[in-house]
Amino acid sequence: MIVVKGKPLDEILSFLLPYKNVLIVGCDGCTQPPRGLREAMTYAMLVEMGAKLRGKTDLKCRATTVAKQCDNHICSTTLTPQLEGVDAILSLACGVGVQTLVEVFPEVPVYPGQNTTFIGSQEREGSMLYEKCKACGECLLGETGGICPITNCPKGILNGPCGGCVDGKCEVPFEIRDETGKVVKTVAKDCAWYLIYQRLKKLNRLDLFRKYRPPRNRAISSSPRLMEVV
Amino acid sequence: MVQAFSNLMRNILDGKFVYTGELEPHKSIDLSEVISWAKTLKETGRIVAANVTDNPKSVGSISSLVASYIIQRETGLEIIYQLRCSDRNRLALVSDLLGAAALGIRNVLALTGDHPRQGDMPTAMPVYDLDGTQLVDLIHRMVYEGKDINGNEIHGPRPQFNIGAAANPNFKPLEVEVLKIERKAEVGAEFFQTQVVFDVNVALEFLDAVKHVNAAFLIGIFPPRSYGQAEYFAKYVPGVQVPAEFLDNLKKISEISDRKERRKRIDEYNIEYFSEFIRAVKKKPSCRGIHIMAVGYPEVVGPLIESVEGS
Amino acid sequence: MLAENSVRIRNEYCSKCLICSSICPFEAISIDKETGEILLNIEKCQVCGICFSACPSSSIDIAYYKTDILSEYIRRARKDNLILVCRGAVIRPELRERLEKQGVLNNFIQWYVPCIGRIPLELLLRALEGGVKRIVIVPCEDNKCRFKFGSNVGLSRLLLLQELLSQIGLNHGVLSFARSSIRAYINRNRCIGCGNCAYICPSNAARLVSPGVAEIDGAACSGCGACTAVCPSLAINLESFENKVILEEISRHRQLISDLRAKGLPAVAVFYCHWASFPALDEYGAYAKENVVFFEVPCSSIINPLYILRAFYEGFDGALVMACRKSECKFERGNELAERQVNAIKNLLRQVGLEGRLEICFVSPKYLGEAEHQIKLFMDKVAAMVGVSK
Repeated sequence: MIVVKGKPLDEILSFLLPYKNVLIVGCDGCTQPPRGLREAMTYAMLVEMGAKLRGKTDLKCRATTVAKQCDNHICSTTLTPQLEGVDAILSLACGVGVQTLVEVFPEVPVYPGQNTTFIGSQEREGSMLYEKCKACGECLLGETGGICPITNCPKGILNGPCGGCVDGKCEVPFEIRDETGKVVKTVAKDCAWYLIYQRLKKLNRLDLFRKYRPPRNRAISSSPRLMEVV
Repeated sequence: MVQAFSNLMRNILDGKFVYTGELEPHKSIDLSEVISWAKTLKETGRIVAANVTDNPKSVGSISSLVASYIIQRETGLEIIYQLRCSDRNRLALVSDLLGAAALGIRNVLALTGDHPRQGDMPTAMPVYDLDGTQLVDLIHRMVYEGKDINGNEIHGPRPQFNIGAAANPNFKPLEVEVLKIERKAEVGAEFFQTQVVFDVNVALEFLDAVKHVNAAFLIGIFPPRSYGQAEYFAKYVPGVQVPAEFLDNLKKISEISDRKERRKRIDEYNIEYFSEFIRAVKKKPSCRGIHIMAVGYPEVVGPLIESVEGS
Repeated sequence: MLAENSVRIRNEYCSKCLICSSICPFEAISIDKETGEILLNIEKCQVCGICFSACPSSSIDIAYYKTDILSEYIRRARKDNLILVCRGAVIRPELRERLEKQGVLNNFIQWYVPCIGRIPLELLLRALEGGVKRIVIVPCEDNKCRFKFGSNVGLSRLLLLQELLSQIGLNHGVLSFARSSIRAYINRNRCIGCGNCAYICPSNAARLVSPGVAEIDGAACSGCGACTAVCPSLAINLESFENKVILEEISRHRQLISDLRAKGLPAVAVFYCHWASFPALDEYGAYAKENVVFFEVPCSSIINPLYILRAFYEGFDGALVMACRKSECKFERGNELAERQVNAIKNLLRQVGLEGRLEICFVSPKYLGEAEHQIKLFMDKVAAMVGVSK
């Protein structure tokens, strides 16, 4: 899923304060945590209250949601009938959703309500989201026992572990940040390459671990990337 | 077949037991202090080459290439140019390597490098276009094929480097480290300088584990200038075991109040402890030398080597 | 804080039959082997009142729903029908229809009580004596009693009463029951298949089925409402606590708030878990200051950002969430979920500029005045803050 994190409200308000009728558009797609209708309603109230407390009383928000904000057809059919009188849109989707809305509705200013962070999985027990894939375009998981060194190793190296692995732990701090980017918590994490070693040893495939992996083809993951859908 | 381009490798191939030193330039354009340390090392007549660090602990410092060149030029001491992947992509690495070769540097130590997050500019972008092993591969191709990692031809004479890599005898389980070393040796690492070892048993076990690897191993030691330095390793450098006896003895000496006397005793103890250490590891055929990382403490190096090798 | 227990055993009247100790779902009652006294461990007690209604010698005192006051109320009300509903239960449309047909919904009193197991037969007899013609009791379903077996204990006692009544010639229609617990239900058209409900459900009633739509097994649902709080698409609602109902209820106080504002009084919304605090029928209003508005919820875990934000949006100056004490949640960890939710909402409110206006406290009806005390503390805090901002 695409992991998003709400932007600081001050930033959102700095976008929206010049407007009067704002449509807040959630996304029922893959955003995690979900940014559906309820979040849109939540932001609608937050923005109106925040505006009022900042002396702007005539800003009105309406909340709606779209099944998939990354699909221009769905956006166009769902939102076109709701756009009357709207002078700005706040999107709660990932950066893809924001840009799709910009393309579909070029005449309306569209602002992001979220910071798009990573492609990750949710660990329900600890209520944590973990980055799991960097969309590098040349999946290595088949060789690494299913553990991705590109995302799980801070250096993303292919021939690890590096010298920073001590007792199976990575010496680089793993940080949890708040909406402003400030570190609120640092956690010790396992060295990805140590996990890969353990897993491959268990699978009796240390030959894969021992194997030299030549440098990656960075052209594959150079932006912007395009693909033909057949 | 390994060719000797440097005095270091020439000595190793000649079967001599080699000693290397370490120099750490800082975030400064003034190299006078490092040069004076280098002179001290050179004057021992025993240090065949010395490493010049590249942004150690990711603290942004003077270019290691520039420092290597100037120190080598000013002192005549052969340099092992350290090069890390943290800060440069493959283009920059190739440029610097070509420059180093043109400036007469003959040894490179290829490192993955500490993560920028641990240094003094933690907001920097970590590069790691290549890792340490791939850097060894790149240098090897430049030297032996005259090509970069994408197969592009280097015009004119090929760069001449002997290629070093890092190893860590403290790594547990040692099996992982051995597999990594095999990997690095496979792509062209000719010598390995190791992380600091205090416990001679750790070094001996490591040397046994890598005896099948066709490369020269230089065990890293760190004679501490004070009890505090040794304690730092014991407490804050994870994975490095410092024997309790070593710490205890240093602690006793550190309680001597007369500064001069204390210094003298610390020198003596370091020499006693490490000469014994060196004699023990020297018996292992896979051990081809010692890398003495006495940063800012070059005066101990000469007497230490003399006490092993005789004057 | 000075805490007086709301449940007390008067050993001087006690006949040491030990029914209370054997019936207590929380093993809070024991006998002192040396003195022979019955001891109540108030820390274990959850104030279900089952012991109170079971005690043959009326030696157990409980502060809420006093029989005398309730009986008097019934007598004065002069109604034909009395409907007693457990807070965990609901009168569903089909039951309502049935009651309507039977004429029970004319000229009636309807009360919610924390557990059917706490109703003493005396109250019912006095109601009949006072002129009530029909009594309908709506307990929770068998396995869903918030007090383990209160529902069953209460029901078996009522069956006994039914039997006795028929012996004296009153037919079964005088006293009837209909078990019906509150359930969550889902609008599958709105579901976006996030799976939050399936994870949060304490009774494994919600699950995600292919193709990515949740379903809720009503028979298994225990009715806490946590799923509605985590549903990002407002697809799930809880019977009698629908999002729409709660939000409208909050908005209903717009006028009150502007009146209070005119008087210079801050308005505070209190969302209370109805197991954490018993604003009992007989003592209702004890802490009902004019500027505190209460919103009852079936478990604090149902509270979602919309409720709290709506309260502030409508002009409330503060919101207090009252959840059960840490180990006393009737749904495992609803209070923990509520605390997390409240912390997240606090962060949002802080960003708007409403820091310190939302609090959560953990209370129990077992200490008299505990909830009032918390409300007072919060009121003072809000009053100070509103004063400062003005």
